[in-house]
Amino acid sequence: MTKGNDAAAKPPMWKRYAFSAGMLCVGGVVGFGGGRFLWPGASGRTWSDTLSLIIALGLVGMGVAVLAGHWIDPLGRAMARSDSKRLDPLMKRLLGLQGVTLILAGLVMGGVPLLAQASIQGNVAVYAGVVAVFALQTGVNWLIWRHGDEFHRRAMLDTGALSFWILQGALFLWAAAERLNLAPALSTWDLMAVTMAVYLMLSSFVAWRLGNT
Amino acid sequence: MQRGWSQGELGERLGVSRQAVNAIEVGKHDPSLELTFKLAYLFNLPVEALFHPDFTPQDIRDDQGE
Repeated sequence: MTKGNDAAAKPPMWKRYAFSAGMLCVGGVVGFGGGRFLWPGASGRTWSDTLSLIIALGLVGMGVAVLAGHWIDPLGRAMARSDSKRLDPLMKRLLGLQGVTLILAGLVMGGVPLLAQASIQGNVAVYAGVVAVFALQTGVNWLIWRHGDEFHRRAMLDTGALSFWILQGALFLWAAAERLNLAPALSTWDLMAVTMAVYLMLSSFVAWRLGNT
Repeated sequence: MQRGWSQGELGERLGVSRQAVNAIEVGKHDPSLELTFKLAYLFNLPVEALFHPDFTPQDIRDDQGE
C-alpha cells in the first residue's frame, strides 16, 4: 500500500543507534540524578513510597523527553519513527499532550509520598492541590483520547482492559490470601503504586504488540 | 495500489498517524468502517480490493447450509 515497508524508507541504522544511545544517556542522567535525590530520605520509607517515587522519576524523565520531541522536530521524528521530512501535526500534538500528562502523573505519584514524608498530613489545602493536579492530568488524558486517532484509542482501550483483568485477578488473590491470614495487609497507597507500575508495563507491552513504534 | 507515498504521507491524507497505517499494513489493526472507506476513495478502489479476508463468499454460504 505504501513504500513504508521498504528498507530504504526506514531511517539509517546509525541514526537509530544514535537515538537509542541518546535515550540511554538521558535515562542514565535521570536515574543518577534521581538516585542522588531519593537516597537521603530512603531510610524508613515504605516499599510503596519508594516504588511510587521511582515511577514518578521515570514519568517526569519520559515526559520531559517526549515534550522535547514535541518542540524539537528531528527528535520528535525519531521518537515517532517518522518516515516523512517533518513531524506530522497529529503526532506533534500527541507528543505535546503525552509529555504534559506524563509530567503531571509523575508530579502526583511523587508528590504524595514526599508530602507525607515531610509530615504535611491532614492539610485539606494540600490535598486540594493534589486533586487539582490529578484533575488537570485527567483533562489532558481526555484530550489525548479526543485528538488521537483510532489506533491510539485502541491502544488505550486494550491497555485499560488488560490492566483491569490482570489487576482485578491479582487483587482478588491477594485479598483472599489476606482474609485467610496468609498474606500481610496492604495500604491503599501500596495498591496504587502497584496499579501504576502494572499499568505502565502493560501500556509498553500493548504498544509493542500493536507495533506502535 | 502502489502510489509511492510513505506511511506518514498516507497517514496525513487519511488523518491518522504513521503508526496506524503501519499497524493496518501488517494486519495488527483492523481499520474502522470510516477509515476503510477513506482508503477506498483515496486509492479509487472498491473496499473488497483493499483487504484479503481468509474466507470467501462461498464459505459463508456453505456455513449457512445453502
